[in-house]
Amino acid sequence: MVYITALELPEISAVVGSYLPLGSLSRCTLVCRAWRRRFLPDLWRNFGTQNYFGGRNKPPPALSVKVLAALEKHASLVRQLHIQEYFLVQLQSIYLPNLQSLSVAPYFAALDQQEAQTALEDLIERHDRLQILGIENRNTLRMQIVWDIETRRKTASDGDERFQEQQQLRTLSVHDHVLDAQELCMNKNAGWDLLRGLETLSLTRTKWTLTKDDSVSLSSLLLRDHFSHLRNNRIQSLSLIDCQPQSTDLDFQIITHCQQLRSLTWHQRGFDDWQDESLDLVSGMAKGLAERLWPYLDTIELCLKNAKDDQYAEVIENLGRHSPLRSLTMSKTTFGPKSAQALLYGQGGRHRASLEKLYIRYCRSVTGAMVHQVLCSFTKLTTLQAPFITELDVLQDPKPWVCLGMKDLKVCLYVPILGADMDLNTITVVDPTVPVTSKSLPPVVPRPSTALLDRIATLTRLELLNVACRDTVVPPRAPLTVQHRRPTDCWTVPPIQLDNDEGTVSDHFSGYSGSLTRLGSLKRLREFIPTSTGHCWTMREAQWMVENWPQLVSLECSPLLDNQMTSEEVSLFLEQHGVEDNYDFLFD
Amino acid sequence: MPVTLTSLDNQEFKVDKEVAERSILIKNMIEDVGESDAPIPLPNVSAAVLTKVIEYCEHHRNDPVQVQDETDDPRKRSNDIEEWDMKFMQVDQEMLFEIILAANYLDIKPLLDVGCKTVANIIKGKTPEEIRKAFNIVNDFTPEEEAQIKKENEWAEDR
Repeated sequence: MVYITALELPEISAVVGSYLPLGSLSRCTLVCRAWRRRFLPDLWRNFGTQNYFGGRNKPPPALSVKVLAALEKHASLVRQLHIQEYFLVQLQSIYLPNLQSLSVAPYFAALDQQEAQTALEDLIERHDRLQILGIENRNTLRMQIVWDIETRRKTASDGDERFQEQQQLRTLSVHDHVLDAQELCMNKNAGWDLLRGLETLSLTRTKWTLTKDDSVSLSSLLLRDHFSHLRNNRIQSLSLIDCQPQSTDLDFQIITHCQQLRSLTWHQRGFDDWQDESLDLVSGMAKGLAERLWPYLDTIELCLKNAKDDQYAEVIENLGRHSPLRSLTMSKTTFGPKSAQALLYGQGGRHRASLEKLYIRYCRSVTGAMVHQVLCSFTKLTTLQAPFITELDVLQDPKPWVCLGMKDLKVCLYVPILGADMDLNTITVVDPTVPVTSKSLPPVVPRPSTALLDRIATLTRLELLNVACRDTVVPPRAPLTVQHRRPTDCWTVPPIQLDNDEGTVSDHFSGYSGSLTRLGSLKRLREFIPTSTGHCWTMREAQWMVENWPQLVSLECSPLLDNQMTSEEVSLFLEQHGVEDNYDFLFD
Repeated sequence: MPVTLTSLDNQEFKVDKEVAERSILIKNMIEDVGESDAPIPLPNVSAAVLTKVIEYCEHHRNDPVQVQDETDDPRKRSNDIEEWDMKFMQVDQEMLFEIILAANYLDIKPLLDVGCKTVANIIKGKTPEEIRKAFNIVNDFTPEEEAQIKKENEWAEDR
């Protein structure tokens, strides 16, 4: 029959497989022998890394005896392995010949550090096809192990360059780690060779030391020389997040040596005792840009706590002059009037024609006027996030929006600004007056302009984060009822912040009910759970939603979190309401 | 300028170049051959299927080129099919798979995706037995094999 042939083509079954959650893949391998051959590789390829329905991270499966036996049996299929640190020891007997990516993270139980380290090193040592390594661990892994493997690989692949390229470690990401710089220099600099060969290097809360005990500040001067070994590296993507509390100098040394850089993320937050010399590094960055030190750099994220407004301004000014910038992220309040000035009117201004994404976070000095100006002069912008804009009345003029290809917009609540021909797909409104942690009922906020959603033909996603619930913002008319328009298909709702004893279910929803029934085209509803409040919908509420909203095909919430329902009750609920083909209930 | 496509059963279809070029295969052919009045033969696609494919391309003629998602999440959602596409895909199973094959052959990525999402949605939430029924497949496992596989797959069941 025809359809058998279609699924028999590997390129087609691979696409189908990529749209299936693991549970379904698992059932596919039980259908018949042919299907088993087809879907088994999909099932095992990325073990433990599944992140289906983004944001809902489940920890990787526990490695019980049964799972280990299965893993061993299908060892050759596994390319990517993400495991809980706790199970490292269990893996000692297993060899995965095609393993390319390994990441380890502590989830619940911690392993004895020494034990974890030995097991991890053993694992790395035995798998020499690794290209991607991610370690989240509060201990020192002897990086020597990794370097040794690299050296071995090089020796083994002498004379075959292509082979070597494929085999080399390309991505290294390290969290909460201590890197021993001296170790890097041993073994004929194999360590530096390794770093030089990387394409992506990501260091988070990572310390450099000369020996394991000494303090960083003393050794930083010495390290300066060490980093010259990094010259001529291939690193294109570099992320340094809160490394080296006492000195950003080392960060800067690394950045300076990465001249192939395309993407840079540099965060230094939370250290109040910054020395002045560190602050100069921001200026150093500006100077480096002026000298075209990083000719390919087009994505920058800076979050430097104590950097001053004029230093930011200098960086931006030089960016605009020399770099075809595509994405810019600026954080922290020190992004102020001068930086804004540079962004908007800076001499170079090349970024105004090239910037596609602009994120301005936690910068309370950003004004509506500025956003207005950004919208008028940045011709390629598709994403703007500036959630703390003030002076909104300036935004009333819809004109600048019309000419833009804007796709994603994240601005403050009550922005009655949106023009008729906008091509927006996502709007996120954040109410800056209500902190997420607030347990009390937030002040009543005005609804956004009723015509707001009606005017945007392409909107497919409306997220209301941190918005007061009861009297909120669900637009009183179905937003997109006109035939040719695309339905709004996902809507994120804040949790209901009422005490459980208070009122009935429908009271809880009285703020929504009238509006919800009018949201005829809405199909998916996702609960937004700020972890700080811990509140989430109860099953009764979920039930109410389903009963009052027949069009709904997807509901994501976590009623079990509050122990509101037992898992039996959940199954019963699902049975009653039928799980149709396209019907997703996601309950944790 | 219109382009003429000839189906497997020798029917000719005149479509706008812009519409035909939704198919990367045809786009490359036109680029290779240059402007020409000669019909483009598509020996792998029947007239019935080609009619559907053209309908799809007409409707999506102005869509921007798809950009690859930047997320490294290997598992993708399948329930974000647009309403029009959903209706378009409401065909019998044979036609559904024919369309997928044609999309694959003609190299029309968005159509292939929508087709595969539709198949994935048929599979999703079904037990193996229900899948067999849906696709008319005979179970060729022994009960022992089945039990063994179930045991191996247990970890994935609720994921």
